Amino acid sequence: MRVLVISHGHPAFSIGGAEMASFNLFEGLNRLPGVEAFYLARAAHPLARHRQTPLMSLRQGTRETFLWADNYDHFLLSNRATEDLTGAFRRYLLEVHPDVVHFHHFIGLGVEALWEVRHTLPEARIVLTFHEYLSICMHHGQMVKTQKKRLCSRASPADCHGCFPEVPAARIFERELFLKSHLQLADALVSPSRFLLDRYVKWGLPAEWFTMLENGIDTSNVAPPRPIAPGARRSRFGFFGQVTEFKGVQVLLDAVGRMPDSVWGDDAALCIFGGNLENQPEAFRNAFEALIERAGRRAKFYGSYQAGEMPDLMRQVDWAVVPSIWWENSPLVIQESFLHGRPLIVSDIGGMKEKVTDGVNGVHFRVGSAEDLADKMTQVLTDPSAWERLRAGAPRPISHQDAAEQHLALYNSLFGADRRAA
Amino acid sequence: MSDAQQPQQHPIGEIVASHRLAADCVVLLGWGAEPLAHEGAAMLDDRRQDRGRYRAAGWRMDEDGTSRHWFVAALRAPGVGEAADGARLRLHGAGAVRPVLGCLPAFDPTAGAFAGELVRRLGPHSQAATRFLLESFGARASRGIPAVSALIGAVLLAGSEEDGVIEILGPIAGEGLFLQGWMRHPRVAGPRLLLQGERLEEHAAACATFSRADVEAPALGFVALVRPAEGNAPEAPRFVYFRAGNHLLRLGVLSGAMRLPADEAATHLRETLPHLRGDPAAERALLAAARPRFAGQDTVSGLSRPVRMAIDLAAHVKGAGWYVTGWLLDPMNQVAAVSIHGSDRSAERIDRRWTRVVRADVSAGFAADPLFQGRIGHDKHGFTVFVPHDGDDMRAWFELELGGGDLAFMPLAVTAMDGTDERRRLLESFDVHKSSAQEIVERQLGPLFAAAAEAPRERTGHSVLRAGNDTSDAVLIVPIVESSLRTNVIAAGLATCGPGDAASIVFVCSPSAAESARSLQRELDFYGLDASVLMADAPLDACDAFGVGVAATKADKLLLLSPCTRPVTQDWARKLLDALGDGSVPACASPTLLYEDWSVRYAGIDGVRFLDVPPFADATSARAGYPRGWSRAEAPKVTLAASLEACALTRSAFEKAQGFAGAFALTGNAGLDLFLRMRTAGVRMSWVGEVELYGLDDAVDAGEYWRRTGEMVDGWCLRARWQGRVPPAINVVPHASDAPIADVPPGEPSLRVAVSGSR
Repeated sequence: MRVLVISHGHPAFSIGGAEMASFNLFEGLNRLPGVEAFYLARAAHPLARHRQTPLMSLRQGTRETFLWADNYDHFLLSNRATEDLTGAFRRYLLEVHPDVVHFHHFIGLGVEALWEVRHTLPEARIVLTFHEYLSICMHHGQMVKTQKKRLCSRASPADCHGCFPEVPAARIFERELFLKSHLQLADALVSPSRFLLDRYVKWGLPAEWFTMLENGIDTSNVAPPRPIAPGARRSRFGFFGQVTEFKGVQVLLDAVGRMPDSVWGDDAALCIFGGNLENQPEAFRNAFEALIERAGRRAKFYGSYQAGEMPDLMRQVDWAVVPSIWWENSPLVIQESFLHGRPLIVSDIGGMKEKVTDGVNGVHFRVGSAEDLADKMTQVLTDPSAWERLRAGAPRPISHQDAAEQHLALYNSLFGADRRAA
Repeated sequence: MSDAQQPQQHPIGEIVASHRLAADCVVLLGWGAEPLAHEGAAMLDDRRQDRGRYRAAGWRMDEDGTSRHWFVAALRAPGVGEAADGARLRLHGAGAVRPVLGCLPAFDPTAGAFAGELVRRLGPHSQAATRFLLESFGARASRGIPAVSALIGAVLLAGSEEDGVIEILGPIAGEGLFLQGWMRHPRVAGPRLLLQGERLEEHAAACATFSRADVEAPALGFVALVRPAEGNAPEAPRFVYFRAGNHLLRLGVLSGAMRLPADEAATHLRETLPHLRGDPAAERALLAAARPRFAGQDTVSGLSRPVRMAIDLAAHVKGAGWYVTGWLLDPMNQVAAVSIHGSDRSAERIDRRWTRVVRADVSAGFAADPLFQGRIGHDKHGFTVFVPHDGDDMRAWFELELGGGDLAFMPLAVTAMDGTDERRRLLESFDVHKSSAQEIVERQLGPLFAAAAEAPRERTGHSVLRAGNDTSDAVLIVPIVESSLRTNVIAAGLATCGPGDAASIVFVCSPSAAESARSLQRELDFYGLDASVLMADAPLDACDAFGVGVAATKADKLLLLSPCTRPVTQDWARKLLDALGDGSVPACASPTLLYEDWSVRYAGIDGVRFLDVPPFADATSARAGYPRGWSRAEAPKVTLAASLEACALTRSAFEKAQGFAGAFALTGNAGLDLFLRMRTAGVRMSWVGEVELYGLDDAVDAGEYWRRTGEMVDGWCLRARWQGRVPPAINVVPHASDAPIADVPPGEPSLRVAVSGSR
């Protein structure tokens, strides 16, 4: 079976959960007997397009190709350069001629890419994995209100018009129809979390189109517990991920700042591993830097990291905190933390609430509440048995290979019956 | 008749003079023993097979105790102008027993020689002979045939009496030719003058006399304004002729006559006016012609009086007229009248028809001006006026009549506003928030749009940008007239939920949306959609685009679809077309239309309400705003009007209503008008409830100002066209009996349905 995995970015150039998940799947599939996988990632500015073709290799593997696409309508998630889709992309599809085309995203490529696949390869099965709510929500796909960053639990033209008063409700509905007319071309939709799946079903996609499949991770290198002196506390907290407002790092810093010295002590520390700060709005950058300064010795900002560094970074912490103020889907850091035996402190919403069981393998705190987070951090710092107890409750995450096998089973099932009529 | 059968005795007579006008046309002077009939047959004796005609006038004259019947004849017969000297000519009068026979004398070499002979022979009857020749050839002479003009000129000169001279002459712009001189006899000329120059022309004239000390009594000074019915002032003549009783009098134009430039003749006449005497109509005409002339400059701004004016918009709508907005600041009421004058001599008072508008900005702008300081007592300086005008010449200016007979002028930079975009600019010309808004709609813009609707409309042509398959029995027409449309959304929608085999697809694009047309073609290629794309030759609105689409196709069934309407099922087109039946009966059907929030947008129309205030007319759609599925109809139901956002109709229905009227700014109102006309014409109109489409507001443009004002103007036009004439409506509210599909003839309410009449 030939599988083409398509992603909106290559992890060599863009670290993100979807990029990682798609690439891991690509590699996992290639290790399976009888499977030949290819990887097509989108390239864009600041990379320059070659004059003759939007296809490029960027010195990656022989089965890894890039499609330069940068004429993108963010509102409709639409690719205005359809000539590149009907040209180089179509030729690439015919050359590879996959049995399955698995989209892990279509940002930058546009939903028209699904149409082009369906048109060029009418017998191929199309699978689409959702990583966030971008089709549903115009606010970066976060389902967080534009005003005061309140969580959004329902999308409708009227509700979304409330977030974007300059966009008429009719246009928002038009966007919905446009996207659905392309999404329906997929033979199967994949969600890594029940929560995200439910959101799409609530938006109007049929539940029977969905399969829930967790992303796989590299399970080959497990970090041992951080060495501590006898009687010392498990008092190192780690934040892993992009430093953005929606990831809630500011809530975490606020919480750390609120904790009394008597609890924090001299041994506790917060390590922030994450990049992309430079691309955030100035107001957020300023606020973040002010919070770091206020936290003083309690917090350290280490900047971005590569996926392969994760075991080493995990060695430095005892706890992982996922304080996102948006719903999340299935953050990789949760699976990573489970793998390395780091109990989690997570916001009590969405994919975080679904993946981490409060009191079993982690602790929930009220989303966005620095006060509650401080309470929960105090709780784990003052309970010497908490770390061992929660670490023991962590489930074993699935590996790349497991995930690849699960996906292969899905692909095979699609050939077992007639392709769903679009 | 053979010669043997002809009477042998011929009347005594002689043709004494002849003059050749053309190879087949001559004039004759002669006499006979008996009167010559006024008309009859004519032929040369050796060419009897080439029969011609003659017309004649005659007079009995006694000479030396003998009565002779002299005649002047105009004769047309083949070859007569080339006949040899002495050729025998036969004139057989109508009803005469015997013909007059005579020999043609040698043709007079000049018209003057013939005219001189005519005057000499006919003496006192020569002027009657002149009139006869004028009646016979005057029309040709005015067309400038040299030989005829020469004859008439010579006859006039010979047959008229010199009575004076023309000493001054010159054109008056927009009025005619001014003449001044003296005449020997105190007889007022007119009302028509013959002007002989290179051509002979007869025109109406306003004439008057005045005393002159330099001419001997009873001679008087004389002025005339020669006023051609159309066109420019006539050319300067050499002679001017006029009738006075039985006399034909002549005024020669002096070789050294003063020829006034265009602008000076009116000034000269104005200075002469106080001394002129003539009939009242002539005096009025001369007074009007003597007024100061518009010379292309704004003379209002330089007035020493406290009067100022400015024009904001001067437009001309073909077939309707002028539409002008601006302000006139006149706090001391110095302006007695304001009129608009066209280059085609049209003139209309506007201060009796304009709508005054509050313009506080004008008051504020002149508050410190010494000329106006302390004098401005109100802010109503603005004006908006529509002036009907039939012609194509849109050049115009304002004339302000001031106290003391002074005039001031304001040029108008008139813009033709016949296109869709220009009409929208007109709709943006007034402020809906001002109290004058309603009056502007009712008295100015409403009548303007209504008049434009009645004007003949040229069919807009088109070119084919993309040719699709058009072999279906039905055609889906989608207008692309706004550049803001997302063509990828439209193409993707039709690619997934198009009409399929039920109809071919035609997009009609406006040049104003050329970029959309280009992207549309790209999108159609991408989605592999079989569709034609037409580009209209001129900018147009959605209704005109539908019209172009209908004219460009031949299918018997039509589907009209707004680009903002979104089908979401595969079979919508087929079901709508099925509702038309076999197409043999003119019919129209619309589906249920939903808003984006799933509330009902259209589920049939059950009446039109007319109001005294904006929006003037309001179509009431049953269940509008109700939740989707409130009362979903399974079978089509009769309704008053379909929706232009999505409808199927037979071509015969469209043709019965003669297509769209051009009176409306907004598509929805134009559609309502169309459907009401269809309904009046007996077209079956139905709502197909089971088919649902989304009718999305054209929200990109919804905030545009012209749409708000356009609703008001459209409402007025709808009221003007339909109040008291709306055909019976079918009440389809849930509690009424839901009538099955059946036509209700206009004016004949069904017993099964509730009829909501119009006011």
